[in-house]
Amino acid sequence: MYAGLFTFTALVVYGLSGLIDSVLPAWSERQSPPTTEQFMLFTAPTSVSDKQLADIVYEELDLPLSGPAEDYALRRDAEQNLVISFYTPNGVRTVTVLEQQGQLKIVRASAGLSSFITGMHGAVLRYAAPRFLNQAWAYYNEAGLWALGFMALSGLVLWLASRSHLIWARAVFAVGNGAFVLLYWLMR
Amino acid sequence: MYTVIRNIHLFLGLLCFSFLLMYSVSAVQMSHVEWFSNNPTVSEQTVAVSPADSQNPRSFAHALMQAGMWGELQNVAQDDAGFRFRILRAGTTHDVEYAAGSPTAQVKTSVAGFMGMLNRLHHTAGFYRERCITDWWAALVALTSLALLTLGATGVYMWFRLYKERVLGGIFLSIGLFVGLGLLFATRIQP
Repeated sequence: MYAGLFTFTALVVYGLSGLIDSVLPAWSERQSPPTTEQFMLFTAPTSVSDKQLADIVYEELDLPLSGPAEDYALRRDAEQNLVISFYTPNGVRTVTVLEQQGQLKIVRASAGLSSFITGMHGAVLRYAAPRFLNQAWAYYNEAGLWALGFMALSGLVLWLASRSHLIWARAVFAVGNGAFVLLYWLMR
Repeated sequence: MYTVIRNIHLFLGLLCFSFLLMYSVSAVQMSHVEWFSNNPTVSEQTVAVSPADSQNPRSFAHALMQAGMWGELQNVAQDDAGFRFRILRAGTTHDVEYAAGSPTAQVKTSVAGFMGMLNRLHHTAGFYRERCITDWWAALVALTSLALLTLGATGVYMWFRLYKERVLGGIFLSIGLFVGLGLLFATRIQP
């Protein structure tokens, strides 16, 4: 009970996220988020690797809710400019290092509320940026996902200990979990 | 009223037990990958390619799906040297590579273990996959999501009806709401 009360917000986020993902179309058919573009002066140091340059850009921009870019978030465009993607729960910032022009081109794609909720539901410790808000939510989310499993198991124990005589409850348990096992096997 | 709410809570909890446990366990796996061994079982086979399919990767993919390698078609790439694509479903991936002019294609199949399968099931939702089985799964995911929200609401109601638990429960709920909602709001307003 106390686990559920404390993690109530996380559980609501999980439920809403599941409903959102249930009604949204395939990724390729989803509407692209609105974007804004801005430029800022930046002199790229020479003789650094792409990762080192990305880290310098990260420090320069000091983006809230974002951590240093991982290798998978780095690429070179057709003009061989380094393109860095910084992911946050509120959207993606794509930064192109225009070395010749001495500028950074920053394109911000803002996440809508539904994307924000699904993003927050998946914000686990492993992938949390080293920022206070990201880490704090990741710890709260960690409590939520453990609480979910604990409540499922303790709920089962409570039922078996107190109301296992209910025929309808046994039938519901058999149907629901039988469906899970069947679909697991068919979808594999 | 309390009995009705309690029975609804029991009904939904039992009905969705496996799904809720699956989401929890797979979430722990995603948060702590190093705790689990997640090596898929990999096998390779050679498959004959008809002359008609040799020029059209989607046609060949359709033929493979008809033969049992069903799933979503992804990462189709074609050039003068041949083509390659992936057929993906929860737990099983078929990577197909075809060299132009060859009568056969190489198919590398990866089958996830139990934790890998739970991971993929966790990410499977939505009714756009055009397959009956995945539509049934999507329906149960939607039901489980609604059930989770209802379980939360009925759980709060049942707590509130326990007079002796109101103070301590109220403290837990208040702290949780302050932390959870506060973090959501503070995160959302960030630039």
